[in-house]
Amino acid sequence: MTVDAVQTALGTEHAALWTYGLVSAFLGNQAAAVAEGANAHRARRDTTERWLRDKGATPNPPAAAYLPPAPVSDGPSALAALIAVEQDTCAAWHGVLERTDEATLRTSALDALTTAAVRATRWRKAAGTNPASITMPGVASG
Amino acid sequence: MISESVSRRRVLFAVAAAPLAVACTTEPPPPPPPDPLSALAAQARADAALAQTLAAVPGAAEIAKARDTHARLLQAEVDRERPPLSSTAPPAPTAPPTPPDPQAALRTALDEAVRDASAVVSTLPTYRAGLVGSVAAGCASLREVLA
Repeated sequence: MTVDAVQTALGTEHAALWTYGLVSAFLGNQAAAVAEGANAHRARRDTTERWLRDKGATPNPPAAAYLPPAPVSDGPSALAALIAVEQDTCAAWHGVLERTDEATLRTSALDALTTAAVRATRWRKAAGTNPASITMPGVASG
Repeated sequence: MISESVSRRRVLFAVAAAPLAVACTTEPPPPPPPDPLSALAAQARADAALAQTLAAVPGAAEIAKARDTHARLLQAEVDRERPPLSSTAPPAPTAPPTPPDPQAALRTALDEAVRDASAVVSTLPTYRAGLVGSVAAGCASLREVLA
């Protein structure tokens, strides 16, 4: 059950990394923030794969491509894709928090949830979304 | 012979009275330890009250609304697990005096909220870990609004 939730979280990390690669061409003026987000997801992907291997599971490989909620063709649509993928990441790690009693995995899941919520908020701010903050990140109704 | 019979009576009396004495001296069970979510709910109520008084700070209204939602969700979980004896609502925090640097005061309050919520996540059962983890992440998100 925990392994399934972590595989789901790994899937969102793969999707996030792919999306950061996709949008970089449209967000040249925010290259530093894009690179920072990509690096954070790459590091999280690696630790998540390591955790799964330690449990004797085979980490799910990334898909060839991912479908953003709307086609990415300019700055605003690139921001929308980043916001969507960060919020998906929040939901996946929140799901892990609800399914594990393992202290180290919980700490890692909480960190992943918090940092994804912070990045989602920054992108929402950049996009002019109101409110920029997310009251309950990872919770469907939040 | 006489001393022997008295002794037996005493023994019988002592045996009969012992449980009574125990029953009379046993203390009532100690009250359960306070719910850790109760403190987080109070903190959220205090933050909402603080943000409400600082309408001039950009983002204060958003923070007040979000912290009020956190307070309601946390209090609902506290009341679900340990239904309150009376239906009295938790005391509303008294409006705090306006701090000299409102923005810094809000930032400090959110820093503490992130830290305190994150600290208890590892000690909670799973269904509560999700709730409190989301509150911690929500406060980190609110910090960005102030930034």
